[in-house]
Amino acid sequence: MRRFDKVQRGARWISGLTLGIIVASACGVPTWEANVQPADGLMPMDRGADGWLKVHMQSGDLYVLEAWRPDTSEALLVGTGVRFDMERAQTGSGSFSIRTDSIALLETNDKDVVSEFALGGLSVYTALSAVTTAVCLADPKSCFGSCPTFYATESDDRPLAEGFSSSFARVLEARDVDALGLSAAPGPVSLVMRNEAQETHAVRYVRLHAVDPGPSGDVALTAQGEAVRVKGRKSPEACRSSGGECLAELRERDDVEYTSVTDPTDLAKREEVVLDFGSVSGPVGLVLSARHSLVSTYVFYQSLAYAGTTTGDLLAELERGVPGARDRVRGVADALGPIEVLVRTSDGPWDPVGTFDEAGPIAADRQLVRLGAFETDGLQVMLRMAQGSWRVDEAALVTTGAAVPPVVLEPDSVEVVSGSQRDALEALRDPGRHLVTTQGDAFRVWFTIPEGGERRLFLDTRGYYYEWMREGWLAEQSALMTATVLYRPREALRMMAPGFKAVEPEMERLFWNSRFRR
Amino acid sequence: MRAGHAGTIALLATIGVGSALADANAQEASVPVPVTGRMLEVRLADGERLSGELIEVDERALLLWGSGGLRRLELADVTRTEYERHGFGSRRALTWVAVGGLLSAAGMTAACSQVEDTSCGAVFAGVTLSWAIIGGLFAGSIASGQMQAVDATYDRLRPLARFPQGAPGPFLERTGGEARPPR
Repeated sequence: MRRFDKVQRGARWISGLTLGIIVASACGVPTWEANVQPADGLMPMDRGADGWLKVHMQSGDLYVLEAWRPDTSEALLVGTGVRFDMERAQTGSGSFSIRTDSIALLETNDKDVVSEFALGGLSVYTALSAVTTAVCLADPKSCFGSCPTFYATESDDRPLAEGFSSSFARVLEARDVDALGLSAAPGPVSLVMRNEAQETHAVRYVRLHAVDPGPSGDVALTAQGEAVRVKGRKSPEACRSSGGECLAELRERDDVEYTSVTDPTDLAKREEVVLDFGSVSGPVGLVLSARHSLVSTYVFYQSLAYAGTTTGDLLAELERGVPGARDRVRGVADALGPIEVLVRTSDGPWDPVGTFDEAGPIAADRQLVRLGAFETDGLQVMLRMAQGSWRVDEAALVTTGAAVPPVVLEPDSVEVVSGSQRDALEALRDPGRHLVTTQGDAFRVWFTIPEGGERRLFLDTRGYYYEWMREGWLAEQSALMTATVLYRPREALRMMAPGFKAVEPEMERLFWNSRFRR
Repeated sequence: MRAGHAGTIALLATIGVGSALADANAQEASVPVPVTGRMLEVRLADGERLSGELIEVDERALLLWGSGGLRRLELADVTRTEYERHGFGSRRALTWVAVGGLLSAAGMTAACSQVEDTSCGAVFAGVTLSWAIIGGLFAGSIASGQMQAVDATYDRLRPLARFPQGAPGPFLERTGGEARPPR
């Protein structure tokens, strides 16, 4: 908790300071326009916009008065301010009585500001840079740190999918099937697989599933990896969340995502999004496109930091199959949980019908949750999830059809884009081996789409990875927090909430800027 | 010193320097208005360029105090005059960008080195480059507005002089022979 408090205090302090810079500087650079007048009669004299009166003496001395008044009976100008000699060295301050016959000229100055936009821009840039640096210094893991990512081309910046993100140990090796959102005609097609993080990836296989969409033209995957033909896509008619209206974010898969901020006291606190679909007839399902926010990444890295030098012991427990070890290690992830999908008709009770779960914050996955068969004028769907933990791009109703067996495609060839592996293809095709990659490695994997028309493509990967421990994380090692993470995950998520809150505004941008390529 | 602490210090220094430089017209004296004459850049008919503080001006000539000491210039010989509107010049702008960029880069690199091993040099280069481009554009824009042209006439130049009433004899005696530039 001590580090979280420090982060919060630091963030507030830096925010206040930077706000001060902006306020202080946003008015531009001050300039002065002088107006000189003879001293005859002394008054009335325009004070000038700045309110300072410069009294030029015949001797060359100068008084700069903040307040003044003429004393005509004594032929004096009386005021308070500062006196300078002809070299403009300050020779006094306070109250002065100046003989009017020794005054040469009076001068007022009007203040103006110039370069408001440029100085404001430079100030804002300085402030943003300072905040970014502060966030990264307070929690380096939030800025620099990612599972195999798959791209259509070598120059793409946005991945199509990420593989087996929840398999962070050999014993947790798992299969992951993701919708790529691509269709391909018969012939060669390729994907670029990268390791962009300080991780060691062990990839058992990379396969493509090519599915004939049939006359409906669309196919969706269930969470269990079953490909189902769907048709009659229907966007929601209304969408409500605790943050207000959300229809625009969920209506289409367009990278405009529904998101919310975490609760400052509990990362596992639930939020609800309610979708109205109006009248529905027949067997339907909900197509959801979503990805994790960076909450799960933060929790994972923070848990590793707490475990510190004992991380190896925990992983060894997993490997040995110590009873309960797997559940304990996955406890915080399970406490954050999937997106639960519930349905109701009219004002009936909410019935849970399924979940959406896809690990990883990089690429959104598209999954089908079967809702059942309905004949109703008003179908409502609720998404219940950990507040701030998900980015939901699309929620649409579809009529579900038959499950379709995919054509499973093994790689034809592998080009090493970056790295030194010589037998990558053999490693990927041999079920008894893994292709092992480290940070910066990249491969172009080629497949051949069989004859028979255009196919929808899905990525099927299997493997595991190890996160590299960083020296900086060891400073946060805490047996107490590790025990809390393992045995009281809900409590751990409450304790991590303030720390995440402190870095939440900047974390997404920093994460996307941190990925590594050679 | 841990990298995090060094970075925090660097960050605070960035903010402090930026804040100080933002107050570009701050006077050494205790008043906000200028108490000396304005800095002038003068071009003469023969192509010579001079700069210095405007000490006084009359209907025929101006008196400039520059690196060569006091120099009286006939207004008829002056083809172009610019005066300094504010103190935020290219030197201050460059200082802001250099200090801000280097300290931000140092802070980000220190943060990166806590986590990454191989790519932190690119972080340093990237942050420095972004500061050089974005910060440089803003700072250059400010600095380019520092000087403003003004007609070389008595009425226009008089309010810009240290002694609009005319320089006193003792000042001229003291500075005429071995005058030093004011800054």
